[in-house]
Amino acid sequence: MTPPDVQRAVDAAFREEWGRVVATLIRRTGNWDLAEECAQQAFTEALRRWPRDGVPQRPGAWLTTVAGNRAIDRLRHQRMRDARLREAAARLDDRSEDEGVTTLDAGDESGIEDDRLRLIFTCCHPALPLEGRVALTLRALAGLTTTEIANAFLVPEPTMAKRLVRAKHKIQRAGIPYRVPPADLLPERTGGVLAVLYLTFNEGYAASTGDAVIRVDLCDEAIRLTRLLHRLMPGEPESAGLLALMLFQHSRREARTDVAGDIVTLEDQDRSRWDREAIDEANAVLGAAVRRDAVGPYQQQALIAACHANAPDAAATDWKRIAALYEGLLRTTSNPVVKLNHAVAVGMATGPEAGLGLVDQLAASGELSEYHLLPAVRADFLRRLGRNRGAAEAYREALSLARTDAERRFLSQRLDEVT
Amino acid sequence: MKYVAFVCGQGLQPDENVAIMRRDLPAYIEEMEQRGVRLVGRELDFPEKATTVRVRDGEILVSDGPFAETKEVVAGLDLLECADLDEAIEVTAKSPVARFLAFEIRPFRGGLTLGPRATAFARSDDSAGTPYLLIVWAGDELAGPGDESALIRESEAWRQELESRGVFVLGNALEGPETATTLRFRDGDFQLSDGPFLSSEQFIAGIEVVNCSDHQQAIELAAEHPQARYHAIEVRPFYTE
Repeated sequence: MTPPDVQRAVDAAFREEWGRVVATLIRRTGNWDLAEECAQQAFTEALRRWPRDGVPQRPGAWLTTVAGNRAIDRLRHQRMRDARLREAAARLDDRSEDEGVTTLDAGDESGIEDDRLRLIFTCCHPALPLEGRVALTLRALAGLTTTEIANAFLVPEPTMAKRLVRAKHKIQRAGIPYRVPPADLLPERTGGVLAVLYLTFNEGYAASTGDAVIRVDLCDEAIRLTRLLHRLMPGEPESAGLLALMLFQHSRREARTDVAGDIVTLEDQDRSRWDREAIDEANAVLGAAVRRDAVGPYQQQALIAACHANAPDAAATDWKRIAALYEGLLRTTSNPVVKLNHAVAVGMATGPEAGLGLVDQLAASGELSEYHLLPAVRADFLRRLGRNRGAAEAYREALSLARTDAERRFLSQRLDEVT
Repeated sequence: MKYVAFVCGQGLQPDENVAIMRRDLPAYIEEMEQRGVRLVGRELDFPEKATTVRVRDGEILVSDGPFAETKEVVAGLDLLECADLDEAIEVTAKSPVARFLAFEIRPFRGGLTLGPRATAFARSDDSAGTPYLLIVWAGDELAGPGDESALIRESEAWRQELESRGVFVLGNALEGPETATTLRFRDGDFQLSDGPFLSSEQFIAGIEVVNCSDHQQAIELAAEHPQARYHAIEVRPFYTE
């Protein structure tokens, strides 16, 4: 094999297998840092040995075995002052004899799938700070480096490193269990996992319109992890709902901005640039999920996204259905952003006057007072009603609250149109 | 694992909450004791009865009142023996007072030292002396010593010495504030947050329970605690019948 071929094989294995190797090693050693270090060493070893020996038939099993052996070596040879490590070494030795390496080669992967699920639930444990949950999920499960995660969230690397250390420290010292929660906790904790994944996705989604900073694509990572969760928990319709929702939103990534990097609204987007493959996958995933008849908030949001994704053009959008779906969503959440979106849908379905009434109610409540899209939506309704002076004022307010250059350019343009 | 769950409240409870406690606490305590997850649960006397003790340059400094004047104060504590944090959260959330008081859950560092008097204390049998809680508050201007393991050994010697004098009940250092989890009931649901119930600049670094003949003796025992040289020790009487 040529070096580039091997590099590609290792890269592919890294994306597919990193989380699996780390998850299994954490279960077997109880030591997160050791698991990460040995996984890293196994991938380095692959780069060295695969050109000579060829890429193994099952790279994941190979990597897990090598990483596991490294861990045993490390634990044996280090002079272990820490009793914790000694205990982990004993556990590792037991496992490798009865169920570890030999079972891996026998082809039983059920336990490994469970390990990744354990890892997801542990990384997203509600006793961890939210930012730590996101960072740890991206590090341990997706294999992003500390530098990559720091860049993705625009924080200095030492800050991100500290966040990761703190989260791991709390897991070990506070006794956060490494497991899939029992049935009575599962719905609540699954909701927590989905929230972390959606937060990661949204961070990427919002950031992609910001300054041209080279970032790891958080959207891709979030989709990959949600797809994994969906595969590991096929009976959970909300994970399917979230996956569909992300796919629908991500399908528009090419059409959301123009060549200058300016925002193109849904209405004006070139729909031929939408990713059909992603939309088809989302439709299939969502269709199967809603047949389970347990339509939670993520499925509801995905159904709304589907209305847009499946409309051949903006005029064909079924706004009445979208407004009705938002009403359904508002029965389970009082999230002000959902209220704002509901107002937009009503405005489109019934007319700007009705929409404006709802936005004014929301503005009066004081919720979203820092959110630029509230005055932006208000401005849009006023513009449609021909009330240009009010619209201009609202666009100015939105401009003062906007967070990215693309948002500011878009709003300035709109402001120019009404003044 | 051994955990402490600090009950955090402000001021006197309204009558309806007191009624809930009278009605529901006994069954809760019985259930958790049978499960073997709740070792001790005791209520503290008012923070106004506290004294704060520091030792600086070999001199004992005593001031009236609690370490920090805060709206929320430690009102009691439960000591738990749980498989993991999830179980500690579950046990705490089931407490009838968790509906109106916050709890901070924190693991002990290296287990909990239980003296021979711990059982009587847990049963609220105070015939051997009045129980006092010594709260080691970190967050004074002083940093700890460079060698922490020396301080741990000294603290262990302090406990043994007190045990030989028949006044030690239980206690140990806690894991750091970054291992704390706070549980609050809000908007009809339990919410978890990372960190202690107060700011993490001022946090509880350890707790000890001692049996004393009077408040003055408790102050003297606190002053002998090796941590008094670096931190502040708040001496709080438990609520006794």
